[in-house]
Amino acid sequence: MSAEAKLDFAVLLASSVHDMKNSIALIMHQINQLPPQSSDSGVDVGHLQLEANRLNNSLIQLMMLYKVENQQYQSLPDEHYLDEFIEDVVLMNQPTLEPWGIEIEQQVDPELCWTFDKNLVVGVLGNIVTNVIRYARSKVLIQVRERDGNLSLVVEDDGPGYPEQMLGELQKCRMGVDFGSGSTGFGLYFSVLVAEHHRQGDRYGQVRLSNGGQLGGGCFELILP
Amino acid sequence: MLDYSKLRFLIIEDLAHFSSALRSMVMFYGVPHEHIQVAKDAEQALPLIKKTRYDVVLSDYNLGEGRNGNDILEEVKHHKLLKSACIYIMLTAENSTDMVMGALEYQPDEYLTKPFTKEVLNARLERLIARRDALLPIYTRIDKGQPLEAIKLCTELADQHPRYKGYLLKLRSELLMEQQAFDQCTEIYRSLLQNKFVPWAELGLGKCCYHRDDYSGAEEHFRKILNQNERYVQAYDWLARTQRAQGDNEAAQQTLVNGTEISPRNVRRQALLGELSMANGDMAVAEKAFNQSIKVGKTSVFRDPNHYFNLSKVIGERIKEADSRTAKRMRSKVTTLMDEVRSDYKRDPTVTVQAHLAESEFHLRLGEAEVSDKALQQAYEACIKEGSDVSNDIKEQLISTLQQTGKEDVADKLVQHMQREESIYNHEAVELYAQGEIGRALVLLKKARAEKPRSFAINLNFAQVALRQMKQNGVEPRLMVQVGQCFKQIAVLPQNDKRYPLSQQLKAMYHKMGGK
Repeated sequence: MSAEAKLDFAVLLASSVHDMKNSIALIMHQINQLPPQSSDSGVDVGHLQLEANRLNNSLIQLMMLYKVENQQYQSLPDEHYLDEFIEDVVLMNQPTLEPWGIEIEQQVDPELCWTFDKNLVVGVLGNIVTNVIRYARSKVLIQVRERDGNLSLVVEDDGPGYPEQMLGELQKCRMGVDFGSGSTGFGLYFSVLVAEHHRQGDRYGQVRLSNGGQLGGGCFELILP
Repeated sequence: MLDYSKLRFLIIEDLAHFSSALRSMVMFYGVPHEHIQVAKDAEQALPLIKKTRYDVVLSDYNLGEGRNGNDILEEVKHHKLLKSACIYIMLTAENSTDMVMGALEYQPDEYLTKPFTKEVLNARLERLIARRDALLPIYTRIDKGQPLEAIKLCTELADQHPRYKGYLLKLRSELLMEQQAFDQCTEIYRSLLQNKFVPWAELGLGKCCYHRDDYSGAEEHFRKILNQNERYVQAYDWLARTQRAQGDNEAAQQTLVNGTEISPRNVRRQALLGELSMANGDMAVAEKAFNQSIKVGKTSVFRDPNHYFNLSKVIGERIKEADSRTAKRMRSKVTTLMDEVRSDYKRDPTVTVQAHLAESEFHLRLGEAEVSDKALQQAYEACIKEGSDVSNDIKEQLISTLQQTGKEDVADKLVQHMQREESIYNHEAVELYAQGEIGRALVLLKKARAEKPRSFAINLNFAQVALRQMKQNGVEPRLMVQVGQCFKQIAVLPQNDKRYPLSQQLKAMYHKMGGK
């Protein structure tokens, strides 16, 4: 593919993402008008919501990924109170989780305040929380605290946990797309990119995966300097 | 729970189904339907904003063809159309903050990415309204024009509401900056930057240096921002200003070229680039920049007819090196531009006259005396027709152009026309004078003179009132000088004019008081 053809694709991508997002916004609004239990119509509202939300998250991330990779992303670190920030994340994702009988709990220090790029981190947490639905049995916990001078944001579930080979600190260069398993690792790749985007002096953000935690399932941890 | 029943909302959204969805959300919170108004674009929104004191504005960023959400926000903030306490939320389709931040002077209270549920918007509103209510005394002081009290309250309320400390610090620094209290601003920014990199604080430090003429210090701060984030466009603007202030126009031009590559949709940035490259003789860049400033400016509060006139000058320079085909195209471009500016500003007769003048100058440079003269004649006719609505500077400019091109007779006619001009201030002053309010009459006549410096009636009245005042209160040297200027203007009053005897009487009085 020539360089010129790639450029055209980028423009096309940008404008179609914009269009698609408008459509999704409308679909999501319509879905939210439906009664939660419309068993007689055979429509699974919860599933519709989940998929629309996933589609929406993917598009946002695709767009941001493109911008970050092409140095077009304008980083916007600002100070945020974590309790408000997490409340937003929960409110944004609750409609998707509720129909699946999954409860979302937050443990956030009410005085905690940190400087970070809200849009990027909302994207990361939204993606992780939406994906957790596939693994969690009944509970998701978002826990935020300060640890060793860093901000630690943890998303835990009560599912079977992450596969052994994925545990530890995630490295961007070691991540690939596995079409065989159907997992593109896209959300995780994005989270590592976002972590690296946050830096203070010589310190960078990190992403760590582990199992156990308070709920005994998978623990996703985003660490920001 | 927040009481929504008294709040007034404005929704700006071009797509009908989105605006009705937003409306139903807001009604769900308990806002009565008569407190919610909906506009689909800037043309509908701005008159509403001027009429109603909204508590909350929810505006989509993308509004189709015309002005976008930011254009509206700029106009609203620039002209201070909303009260300071009004909450402005910008709704964006993508995470589009990166396309606007750092490129703009004015920012909304919050960006909200679509789609969102009513719970998400509600949480946002509750927080913002709680903050507004807590800080209301500050906003009231700002709107009352008491910035010093507002600044003091920022510190006091920060102690009472630790959660708003960061917000208040920023607000305080902005208010202090407006008061040019650069020492205090610097102190705030320094304290913020101690532990981490905060781009707006770094920018603020640079601005403080710039305003104190410490250009090398300013440059250091702006470069530091760009090293960390090369897309922080405001830093380019300020760096360019600093470089220009240091006399390095070429570096300033290059800086703005970089800035406009990242964010081309900014009228003032493009216009500044145009002016700089014009001064540097880089007419190709200037042409491109003014083209952009005009194109983007079509929908902006920062549009300016001078961009058109500068562009016509630039094309006038470039046309000399163009081949005949390009020259032909350039010539019709200038014609189109001048028609366009006249039609865009048809309510401003000064612009009409300026456009004819620019056309005349353009054709004169090409050696097309006949076309040039025709444009001058049109400028003259527009001046006569629109009379007092054409700005004085432009009339003087036209007079000197007419004189330079040997059209003394037309110039004289215009001068005579101006000598016959009247002013509303003059009429009011005459009334005040009749009531014996001499001091107040004089104040108005000063304004009238600034507006119509050649008018016989105004100069005569000014002399009369000023002399009367000095006769009562004693001679004021500065006022004597102004009266002397009046007599120069009325020196050509013909002897058969009915005001001639009065002018002679006043002159005698003036000489008696020591005037020369």
